[in-house]
Formats: sequence, C-alpha cells, structure tokens
Amino acid sequence: MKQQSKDNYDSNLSRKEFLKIIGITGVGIGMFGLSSCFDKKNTLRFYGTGTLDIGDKWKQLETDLGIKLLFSDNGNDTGPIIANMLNGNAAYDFDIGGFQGGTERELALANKILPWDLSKIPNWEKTWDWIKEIPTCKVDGKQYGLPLVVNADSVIYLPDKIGGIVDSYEVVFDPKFKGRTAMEDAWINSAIFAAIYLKENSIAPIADPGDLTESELGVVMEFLIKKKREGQFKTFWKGWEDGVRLIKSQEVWAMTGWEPIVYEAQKAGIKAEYAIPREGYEGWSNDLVIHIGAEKRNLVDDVHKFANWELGGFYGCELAKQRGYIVPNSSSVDFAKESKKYDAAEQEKKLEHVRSKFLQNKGKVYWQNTRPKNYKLYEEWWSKLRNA
Amino acid sequence: MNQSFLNNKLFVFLTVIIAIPIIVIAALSFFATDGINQTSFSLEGFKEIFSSLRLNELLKISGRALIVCITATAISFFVAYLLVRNTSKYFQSFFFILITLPFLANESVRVFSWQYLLSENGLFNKILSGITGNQITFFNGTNIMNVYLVMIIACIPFGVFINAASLRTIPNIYWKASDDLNLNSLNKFWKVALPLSKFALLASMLVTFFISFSLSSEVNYLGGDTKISLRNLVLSLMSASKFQSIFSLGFVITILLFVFILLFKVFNRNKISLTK
Repeated sequence: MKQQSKDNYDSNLSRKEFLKIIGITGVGIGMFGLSSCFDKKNTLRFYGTGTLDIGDKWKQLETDLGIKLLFSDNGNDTGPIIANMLNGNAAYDFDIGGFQGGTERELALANKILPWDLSKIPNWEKTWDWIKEIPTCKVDGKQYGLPLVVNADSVIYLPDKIGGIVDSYEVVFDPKFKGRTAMEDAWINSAIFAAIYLKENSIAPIADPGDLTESELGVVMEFLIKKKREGQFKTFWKGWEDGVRLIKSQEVWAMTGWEPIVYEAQKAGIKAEYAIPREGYEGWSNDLVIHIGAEKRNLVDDVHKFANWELGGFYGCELAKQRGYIVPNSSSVDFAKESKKYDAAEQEKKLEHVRSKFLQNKGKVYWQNTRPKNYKLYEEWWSKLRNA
Repeated sequence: MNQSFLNNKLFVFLTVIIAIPIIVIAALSFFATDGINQTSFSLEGFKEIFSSLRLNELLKISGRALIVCITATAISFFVAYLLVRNTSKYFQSFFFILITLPFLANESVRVFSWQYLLSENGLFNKILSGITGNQITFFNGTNIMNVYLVMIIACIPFGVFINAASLRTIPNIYWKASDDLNLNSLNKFWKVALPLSKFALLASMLVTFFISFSLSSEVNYLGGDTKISLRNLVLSLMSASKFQSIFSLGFVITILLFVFILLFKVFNRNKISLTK
C-alpha cells in the first residue's frame, strides 16, 4: 500500500484502497464460510461426558474415516444434560451424545434421540453379550443407547483402619465406623448402593435396586436419613477431587465410590483397596446416543460409522491408556496386538479385571439407572436427606 | 441532541436489557411444559417452592446468608474504617488490589485451597495440635463452622469496597470538628463514622446477603454432610424436570429484591426529608 502523508492525501485513492481491502476481506470470509460448509458433511459434534474425550487422538478418526470430531464436555450431571436436551438446543446442535445410562427412555419419548441401526455397526457383534442386554439402553425393543464404556462400582476402603478385608457394603453403615464413612452426594449412586445392601442382606424386600418403587424408595431413604442423623457419615462427597482428598487424607476409612479413586490413592502411597462386595456391584455404562440434529444434517450414516470405529479397537486402547476405562469387547486387545503401539498384556489385564467383576459373584450386578420411573421422588427424598 | 432524547434512548435500552428478562421469568413461572413443548397455565412451580421441604431449604439458605452478611458487613466496616482513617491512599490502593486477587481464581479452586487448611487433617488443626501438644480437630467438615468462616471471608472484600468508598466521602471538617471536641477514637467511630455510613452499611448488607445466598462450593466441599445450597436446590429441581419451579424461584427472589430496594428508597427519602 502506498504511503501517504497528510500533505498529499488523495481521498479517491484512499477510498479505492479501502474498497479493495473490504473486497478481499469479503471474498476471504466468503471462502472461509464455504469451506466450513464443505467440511460440515464430515464433521460430527459430540456432546459427551468428559471422560470419553481422547483429546488430540481424535485425529486418528480423521485418518481412518475422514470424519472430524468436535467434542464438547456435557458436565456429566444427568439433570442439566437432560434439561439441555429437552428444553435447550443440545439435541439439535450436536450429532451424537455420550451419557450415563438410563436417560434413553425419556429422551426417546421426547423424540430427541434416534434408535441405532445395528446392521450398520458390525463391531457391535463383538460386544459382550450381557452388555447387549442392559435394559435401560432399549426403549420399546429398539436400541437407543450403545454402551461404550462399562464398569462396576463398590466400596473404597483403608484396610489398616478398618482392620481387614471388606466384602460387604455393611462397612459403610457399621456404627463401629461412625463418622468415618461417606457416600456420594448423588442419589443415582448412593440410593442404589443402600438398596443393594438392604435387599441382599434381607433387611428390606426390594425387587430392583436400580428402579425402586415408591414404598421401597421410602424404606431406603428413611434408612439413610436415620444413619445420617446418627452421625454415621463424615460427609457426602462431591466430585473427583473431593473423593480423592477424603481417602488420601484418611479422614474417611470406607466410602462408596469410583474405582479410579483407589488407584489415585495408591499412587500417593496410601493403602487403599476396592471391595468385592458379596451383595454385588453397581454396574454402570456410558452410552452413545444419536441426537435428532444428526438426522437434520444428514449425518446419521456418519454417526453409525463413528460408533463402529469407537468399538473397533483403537478407541478402547486409547481410553484405557488415558482414563483406565474399557470398551466392553475384545477389539482393543486384538488392536493392541496388531498395532504394537499399545501394551496388549496390559489391555487384556484391564479388560479381564472389569469382566471378572461382572462375572464373579454369580454375575450379581445391579445396573445404575439415572432415570428410574420415580426419579422425581428420588430427587425429593434426596433433598429430605440433605435437610435431615 | 437534547437531554430528553438521550433519556428516552437510555430508558428503552434499560427496559430491553432489564425488564424483558424479568417479564420472561415471570411468564415462564406461570406456565408448565411437559418436555414435548406443550405448555399450559399452572401454579405448580409456586406450590413446589412453597412446599415445606423447599421452604425449609430456602429458610436455611436465607438464615445462613443473613448471619454471613451481618458478620461480613460488621468486619468489613471496621476494616474499611481503619483503612481510610489510618493509612495512606497508596496503601489503600495496594490493599484493594490484594483483596481482589483471590477473586481472579474460580470459586471452586478457592474453596479447594481452603479445604487443605480447614479439613480435619488440615494445616490449621496441625498448627493447633503442634502448639497444644494434643490432637486438635477444631476445624472439621462435620460442623458447619468452616462454611460460615469461608463465606464470611469471601464476602468481606465486597463490604470493604462499599464502606471504604462511603467513608472517603465524609467531609474532612467532621473529623476536624471531632478533634476539636476531643472525641477519642471509639467515639469518632460511633458518633461520626457509623451514623454517616448507614446507607453504605445497608448497601453492603444487601450485596453480601445475595452473594452468600448463592455461594455453593463452600457448602459442597466444606459442609460435611450438610449440603443445602441454592445451586443444589436448583440442580435438584432441574433433575426432577421441575423447570417451572426454577423460574418461580427466580420470580419470587426478583420480587423480594424489588420490594427490598423500594423500602430502601422510601427509608432513604424519609431520612433526607427529615434532615432537610
């Protein structure tokens, strides 16, 4: 651009320069916009729980299928996620979701998610059979949720403080450890743990701990309120940091919680263990769902290709490496053996550990249900517990 | 451009950014949705908010906020008084920067830091145990003291800002007059600073009340088995798909705030007319 002093200022030249810049910028913006339109066909927007994200490793998806993935963390709080799906724009703004299992029925009935066409996902065949049967993934016989990650939770404990091996949820409610136990501040996990304990020890007649009737829920929550009033619980922990701190500081000796907390404590030199409860584990899954937005953007086929890729091996290896979670099939072990980039033996070990949790104990696992039939009552009772 | 034109523009602008959201909240608090975009008139939202369970929660949150706002305002006024009367403007600016810095960190991060100081095996108990030679667990998640302590500390800077700004506006002649009358420091505080700062004290209480009313991380991470907070209440309503109740709660709080400000204005006007 010509340098102009104030003395020889040429307004016409200046205007021309200005229009030239505007023109170039306009064409640039237009091209940029068009390029994003071309890209849109192969871009999937994923509204998932943070632990499902594999960061820069999503590039492998682009290499394998030519699909670009944009991941958005949904915060993993079921209530706000459902609110965003039903009343917000999440169902339309994203193509695929990854939530805690149990939300499928409500979202399907509100026409916010679509059923999977399993014939388009060959790797689904490799998924463990009992995982295929998780009841909350199906609505009216159609598969709305695709279990991508599964695990089984129980009790984290400090054997030196408790004085031995724990094989029951009883330790959390035992008056001997009054003020030294804790549960999570979330009914989706704590109510089912208490219900499993009461059912399996024949303290209360309960049909399905994951989906309590009104009267069963009353019994379970009255039990927890009584225990709280007696000072049994040190706290109701909230979130990863809080859970890890309570065990690492040894303020709590036994608490219901997530297995990775045990590993984190062990890394810090704390002797923490994860109980194999005789009553059975609480099983949970992170399920993939198709948002209605994928249909509007003609991306349903791409979403199926993506799901097949996630069950194909690479994702399972990477997830286990980054998060310690496993995809419920043997593809990741096969992939690790072929690629040599991952430790096949380690992968096998992690897979076996989770599989054995489900298969040991006569396969006694009660599935977490984030949206039981009486979920409104669950919320009400949980507020009563907080108030007690 | 004349003044009335500007005023009209400003009025329209303020109406758009303030009134419309309030009208929307008011409207939504009277209409229920079934999740499939069908709405109907309903008072269920208000019924839920005024049910004994929710009312109990709101009373506990309000009671806690009241204690926090009174304590924080009292402490902050005293701190502001010492600051304005006894330190240079340079030091005051430095002090304001110092108390603002923690707010650059997220609320949860700040509370996590407190956890390491106030937990049962935290630094404060360790220091106390070291001094006394006994195992001290004075600071403990199982009592509610940690929550109050951290909430009060979180609110004090807001009170200091408001009260210091007010104390700085007291004309110097008042202080000179009190010197001529040989008033001691305590009397200057009671007879000069306090009566001339009523407005600031009320403003400080109002601000700190609403801040402590909505603080939740303190409750979640320092409150032991007591988990009653506004955030938890709203999330609970959201999880139960009681969205209308959330808007009803917002509407009730807005009305209460409006009434409070109106009373405040009336009180202030009466005070001014009495002075005249």
